[in-house]
Amino acid sequence: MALSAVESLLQKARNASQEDIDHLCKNISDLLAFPEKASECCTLLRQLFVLLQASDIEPCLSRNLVMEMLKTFSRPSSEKSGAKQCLLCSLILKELLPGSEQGTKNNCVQEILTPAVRWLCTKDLDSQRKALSFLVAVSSLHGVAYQEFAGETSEQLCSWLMSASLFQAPNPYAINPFRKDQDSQVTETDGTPCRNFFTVLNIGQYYTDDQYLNIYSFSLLYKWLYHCSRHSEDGDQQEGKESPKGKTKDSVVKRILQSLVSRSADYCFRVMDQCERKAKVASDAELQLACLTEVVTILDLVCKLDAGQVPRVHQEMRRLYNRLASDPGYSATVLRILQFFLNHSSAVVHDPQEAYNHFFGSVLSQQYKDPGLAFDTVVFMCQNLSTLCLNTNILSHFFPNILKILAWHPRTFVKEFVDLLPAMMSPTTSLEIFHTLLDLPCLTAALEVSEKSKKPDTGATNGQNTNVEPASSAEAFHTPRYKPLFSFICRSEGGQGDTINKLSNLHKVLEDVKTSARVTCCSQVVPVLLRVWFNVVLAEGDQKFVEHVLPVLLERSGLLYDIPDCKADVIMIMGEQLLQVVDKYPSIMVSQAHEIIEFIQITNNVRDRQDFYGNLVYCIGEYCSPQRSDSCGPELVAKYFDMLEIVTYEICGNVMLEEDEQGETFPKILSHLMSAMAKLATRRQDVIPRAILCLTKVAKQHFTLTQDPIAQEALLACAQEHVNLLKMPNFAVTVLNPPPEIYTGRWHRDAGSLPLILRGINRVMNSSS
Amino acid sequence: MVLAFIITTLNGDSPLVLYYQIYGQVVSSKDGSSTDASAECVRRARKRHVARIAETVHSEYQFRREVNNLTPDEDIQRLSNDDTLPDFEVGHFLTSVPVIDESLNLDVARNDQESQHVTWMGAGLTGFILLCDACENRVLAGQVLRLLVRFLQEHVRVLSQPSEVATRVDRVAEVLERVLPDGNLLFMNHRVVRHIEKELDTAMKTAP
Repeated sequence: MALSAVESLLQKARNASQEDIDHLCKNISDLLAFPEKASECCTLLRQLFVLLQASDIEPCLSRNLVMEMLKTFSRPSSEKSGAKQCLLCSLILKELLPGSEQGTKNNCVQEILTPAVRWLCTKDLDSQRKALSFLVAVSSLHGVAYQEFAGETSEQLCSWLMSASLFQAPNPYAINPFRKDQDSQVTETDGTPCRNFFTVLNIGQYYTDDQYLNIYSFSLLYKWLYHCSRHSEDGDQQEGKESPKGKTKDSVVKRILQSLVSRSADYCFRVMDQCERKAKVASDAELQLACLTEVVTILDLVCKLDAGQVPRVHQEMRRLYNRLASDPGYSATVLRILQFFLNHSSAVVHDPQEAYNHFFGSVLSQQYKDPGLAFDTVVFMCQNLSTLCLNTNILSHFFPNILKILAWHPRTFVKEFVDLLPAMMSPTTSLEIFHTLLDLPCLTAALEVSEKSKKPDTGATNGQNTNVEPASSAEAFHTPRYKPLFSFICRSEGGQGDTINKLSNLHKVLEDVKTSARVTCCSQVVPVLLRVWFNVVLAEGDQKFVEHVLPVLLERSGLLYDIPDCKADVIMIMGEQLLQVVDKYPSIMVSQAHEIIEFIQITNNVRDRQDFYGNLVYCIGEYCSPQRSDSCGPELVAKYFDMLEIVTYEICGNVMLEEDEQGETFPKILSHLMSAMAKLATRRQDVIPRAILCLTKVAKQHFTLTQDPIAQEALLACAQEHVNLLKMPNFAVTVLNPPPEIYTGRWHRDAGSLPLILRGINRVMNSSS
Repeated sequence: MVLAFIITTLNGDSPLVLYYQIYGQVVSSKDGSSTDASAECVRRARKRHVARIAETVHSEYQFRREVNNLTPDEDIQRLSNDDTLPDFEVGHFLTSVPVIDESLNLDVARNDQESQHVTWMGAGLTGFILLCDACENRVLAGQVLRLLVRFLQEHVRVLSQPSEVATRVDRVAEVLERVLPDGNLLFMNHRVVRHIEKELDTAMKTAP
């Protein structure tokens, strides 16, 4: 019921016309000038704001009203009654004037900067913090483009950070403001008196202005440092790295930030120390967590800006890492420390491999479910993609763990994983990754089962009896026989073998979870990533690797976790990609002939994967030829032909016997088989009579092979055309087995080419008849 | 910094944006500094970006609730029973920055180089979103968002009666101005929070 109200309200606002707006505006300007009617006016102003946010039309407000609102907005804030009006006016104006955020009007920025810096030095807290946040915002758009202002701001930040008073402000709500509080010094979070300079983690009953500014300064410190330094880098790149101008700019940044950088480091170390204290209040303990993350981030940047700080900071970081590494509550900070190690360890000859292993091994396998940590990890990998690939083996070694993030949050990180997947693939891991991708929904299911089993109420612990089949996935999870299967699919490191023998058992036992929302969602991701995988293989894989891929394709096309939509998509993609793979490396038709023949011979393989099967038959006809691959001899052609012949007879026989539901699939497969046979026959002409015999048989039977009249016709046509061609072997060779020049286009341009001559003759014959 | 704060509904087929406040450059114009996009263009692109983020959060939330077998009614019930806040779904994701192409009047291209971070929380019928730029502290953003929601529930009853947002925009703005001044995430210890609490109480009492 609560929502129908919103809906109607917003609907009304959305459908508002310009007249409605005009009407509203008129009423507002009538009321705006009268302080006694503030309440009514506020109601209207609220309506106007909601309308502006919700409506799709481009609103038009009268110039007068805008001016009046500006006036109200800039009225001195001492008029208490107008505070709400003022707030609402500012909201409306902000909505209406998105401002030249792009900030090209440099002069305009320049003009405001002077007063802004002046405001920093006033004694009014409000102006000071507004000015600071404005200056930081300017730096985020322009960096240190305005050096003189940046220098002053940095100095001001320094002093606010380091020299806030240690005494509490008097209670502003006290009746007697002159009464001195007894214990007026600020304390640490654990209640002990503060013995060092003031930071965000010092507790006082009330804070003085300079203490608030200290809090502000620390909150904005990273952004200030980051934007000032980042924009100088951008400048360097644009102006060419070696240009003297770039260098001076760099030194400008150094000069501007120098003292602030070392002060920031001091402040961060102090906060780091303070985080070791046990906070009395729970929310302060949370704040310590956020502070630690921030401090590590700032120190990372500090070391980038001033390499001289690295040894000192690095030592502290290692200490911090040792303290936090085993505490799951601090994983976000630990990841930040890894970022620091990644950036600076080489400078102090420290090998952080162990830290990487710890995080991507044990931490991630326990905390992949945490949305925050999952996000942080994905961002970390995306931001450091090239460094991670060049200097570490994290991605290729821990990909099973990393993919757990995707398996558990299949909706959130698809785009990022599309970028990450190629980085995980190496010649040694790619096949294993292929299996892992195909089993990704299975991984989701297994993770869900293991998650459920952690809850006490499932009580499926009577798994000791190994002979009884488990009734559910939860029971199987506790059955010793299935334990290894679960631990394989949920493994955290790669390289323990591509896949396992009893995969189908695992699929079967996870049947009851396959309808879960998460599994379904995950199964929709698989095709996307599979395409990425194939693209990488086609672009970078070599022949040797592809030779390994083909048998896996044949095997896995029939061994998939049974989610119908996903299965169909996966098989379709496999079929499509098979064509491309074979087209690039035709010789695998020779080297993998044994596997292929074994696969095609089993006509049952047509079931559920007719396109894949059909494409493979097509590949035999098209690519098993000496033209495509030098090693393809006549014996192999004969072998393939024998097999196709047998399969064709078998399918014809089966169809007649079964009259089964697959009636629709067989005509297509039969057409593929006939074309392939005809093509092979042109390469080994002694089998032509057998081919003609087989095709004639199909032609004769065409009306018993399927009920569909169109398919019957197509079958008959296909068979007859091929028979007719094969009766003229020389033509058949050219048509069915064209030389590669056909693809260069010469055939269609050269005056002497066969198609042109044929077309010419055809035209002459037609015109004469 | 925080680029935008958004309140949206989370039920039904599509979300309704109840309120948004924009602090920074949410969309970027195609060629940075050569021309300023017109106000109209920026406004439209902003609205569309906000709507798109709300949609993503909506679908994430629906997914979470389905996975956890929870219905929004349970949250609402819990709210009306006592005044404790319900368990929130919390999430984070990346979104790319839309680029306005003035000539086409559309935000067609997406800038893949830079991304924005979205931190969201949802319970019952309402979702709360912080759109931050990439250098923002994710842990702090989560904490501040939780604080915002607490105050908004206290002063606007936003979880139990989302329609209140539309009739009390000034209260929402008041809360935002104190907890998220100019879109800056502050490191606030419990005393600072207490101070804001008092200030808000006083501000809410003043008429009209």
